[in-house]
Amino acid sequence: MKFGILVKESPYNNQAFDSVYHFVNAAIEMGHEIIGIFFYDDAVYAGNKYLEPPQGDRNIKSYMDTLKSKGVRLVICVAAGKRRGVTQDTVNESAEISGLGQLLELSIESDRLVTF
Amino acid sequence: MGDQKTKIMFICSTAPYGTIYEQEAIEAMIMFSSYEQDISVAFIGDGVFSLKKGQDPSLLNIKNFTQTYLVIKDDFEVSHLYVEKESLKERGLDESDLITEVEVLDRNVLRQKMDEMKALLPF
Amino acid sequence: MLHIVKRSPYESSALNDSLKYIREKDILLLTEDGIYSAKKGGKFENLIKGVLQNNKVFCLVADVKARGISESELIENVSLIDYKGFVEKVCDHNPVTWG
Repeated sequence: MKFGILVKESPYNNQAFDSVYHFVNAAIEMGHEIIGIFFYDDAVYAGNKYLEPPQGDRNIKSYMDTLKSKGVRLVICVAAGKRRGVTQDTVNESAEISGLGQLLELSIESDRLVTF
Repeated sequence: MGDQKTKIMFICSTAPYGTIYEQEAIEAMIMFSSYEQDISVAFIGDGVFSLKKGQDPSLLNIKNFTQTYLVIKDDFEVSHLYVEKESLKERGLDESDLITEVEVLDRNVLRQKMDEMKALLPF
Repeated sequence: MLHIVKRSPYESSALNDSLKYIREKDILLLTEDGIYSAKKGGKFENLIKGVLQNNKVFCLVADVKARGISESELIENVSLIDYKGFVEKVCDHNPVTWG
């Protein structure tokens, strides 16, 4: 099956991105396809390349890199990102900045859209 | 993206101003509606407060973004604005309290609409 | 439909909202703080037992374990699933996340 993921919650105030990470890994292991993760609302903070969590803390940046290395597209909403200072200049290299049209495309092209 | 229109429903269940969900949901609706798909918006729970008449957030320095609902159906291609009847009643509101013409539906009917959707986007 | 509830029922209307929309053959999946809904002896025990009359209720095991809730502390007939189980449920039912 083809999954699209929408994540709306801040990566540090909320468990949502952790849930996305584990869900996506399980889905890929089972042979499903993740056609993209769209970061919206405060979730766009996950795309900040300057994140520096303390050692031993869960590392959002490395979660992003791992997902990218598995071929998952990580899309930061341009408007929500700009509002929060996540832009072409500050976005981590595993993620890309794009518009809400990408979320629409996920809704259309996926068999299931899951929101976290 | 194929010829068939895709049915997508926004489920708005948060009140405006206290969080940003409503505002960014509207931005998404506007964008979605320009792609000629079959877009519905359902207001349930505290989401119904977004449609309350007389909102004036000027003292908060916030744009009255709910004005967008006045034009969203006509100028943009949003097919349906649904409001759940039970949620309105629970909050002491009725149809005459709302800023724009909407389809007030019983929960059961709204649920049937949800079954027709390809994707449900909660905000 | 698969109803996903990820917020604590003590602070959010997500559980209540989901139950207003749950119908025959739907599934309730409790994740993150939503799992507290299924704690035996909690305020929501009778509500969840009512759901179990007609629907299956699942808790995500990683979230239950993280929060120090043992299987015996969960309401009877609430089942545990892992992330792969979560993925399977999404394959079977169109998901909606509440709250």
